[in-house]
Amino acid sequence: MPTTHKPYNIEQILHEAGSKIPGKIHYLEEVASTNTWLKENGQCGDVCLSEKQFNGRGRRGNNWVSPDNGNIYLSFCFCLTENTQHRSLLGLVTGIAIAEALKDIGLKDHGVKWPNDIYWQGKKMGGILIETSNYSDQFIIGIGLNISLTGIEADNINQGITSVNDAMVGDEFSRDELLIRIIHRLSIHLDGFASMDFQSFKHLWREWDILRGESVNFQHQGEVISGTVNDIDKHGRLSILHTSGETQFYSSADIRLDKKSIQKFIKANNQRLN
Amino acid sequence: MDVRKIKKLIELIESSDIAELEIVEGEESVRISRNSTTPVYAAPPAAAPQYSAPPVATDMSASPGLPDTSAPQGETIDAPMVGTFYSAASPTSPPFVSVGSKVAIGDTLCIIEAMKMLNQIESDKAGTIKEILLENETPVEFGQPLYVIE
Repeated sequence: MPTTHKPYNIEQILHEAGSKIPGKIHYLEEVASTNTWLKENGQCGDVCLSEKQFNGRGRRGNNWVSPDNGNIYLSFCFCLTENTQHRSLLGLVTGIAIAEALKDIGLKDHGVKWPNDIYWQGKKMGGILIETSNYSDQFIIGIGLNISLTGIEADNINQGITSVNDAMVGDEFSRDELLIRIIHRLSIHLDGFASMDFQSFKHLWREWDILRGESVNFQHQGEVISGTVNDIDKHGRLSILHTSGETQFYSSADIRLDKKSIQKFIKANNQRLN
Repeated sequence: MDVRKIKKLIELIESSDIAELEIVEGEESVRISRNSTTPVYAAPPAAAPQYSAPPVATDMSASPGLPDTSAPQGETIDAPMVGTFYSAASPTSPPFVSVGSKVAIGDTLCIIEAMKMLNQIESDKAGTIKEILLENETPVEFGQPLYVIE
């Protein structure tokens, strides 16, 4: 498929974002997966950026559809040698950084769906995949953010999806600027990650959390769990208040949003912004 | 002490005739003995690397109740964290290891996913996989045996 989008202004990106990170930015026109490339070739603090992934990966080996249509495919190599107990908060922090960058370019009505999906008006706009190993202090943080849905067949993706173009209708924005903001915001969060204070982090999380206070039903180990989303604990786990009055913590749960909760979030978000 | 350093030391011992090795670096020390299955840390607890959230009884990603009480025979490789166990990189990929696979220290055995973080689990032992103790895509508890290795 011919490239119809504006290519990255690499010179500007290297100049403006390169100085914000401890490592180097590696730009590849196409790559199997920015995560895999960075895992094999990157150093702590490096970033890998590409226009196209021919083997982009999502969770559980799912394919992350990655055509050359102007979407953002980006990976960070982050090393955590102190306070490694914070590691389970890394996905949440990355989601917050992306949400902040989207706000910087003027987007509204977006947030993070626990643990780390980027949502706009109830549809998924981006995802995060973090890879590490039990004997490593290195974390490869992969980010996929839809700028356009051109070339992506919705049938290939089994959930409601959207893109920054669709969400920013009528508002001009620059992909280069968004990318630079993401790198900048994430590097600030990662810089303070080891020493961060959980209580302040929780406040920040609440600003972007789209599930808090929602009544949810989800499948867990073959059972349907019902309850109200409460908060997160210091391990980043989702706290659910069950109808029995008991609170339990979950480190995995696939929660689908319903229309009512989406409308409620949009309303709350507008109140916060006004 | 860096865990990779310890891993290298174990490999070194395995490729030699040394029965026991003790190294002291400042306040930390590590002793590795051929008769012991795990390195013995003499360092203060704060110096030991912590790779996962501590096990918490209320974590619902863990299987209900205790792991199978019929203790597996032989030496086991245990889960270093709570999460979901994946035997392969993707549903269409072959598993990292099967019964009969020979593994070296550092070989990838499986993936444990928690909080959408994929943790590649590398072996801390060398040998042959004798038994795989749980099904693909099942929840796993901290310390739960995953493989029997000989």
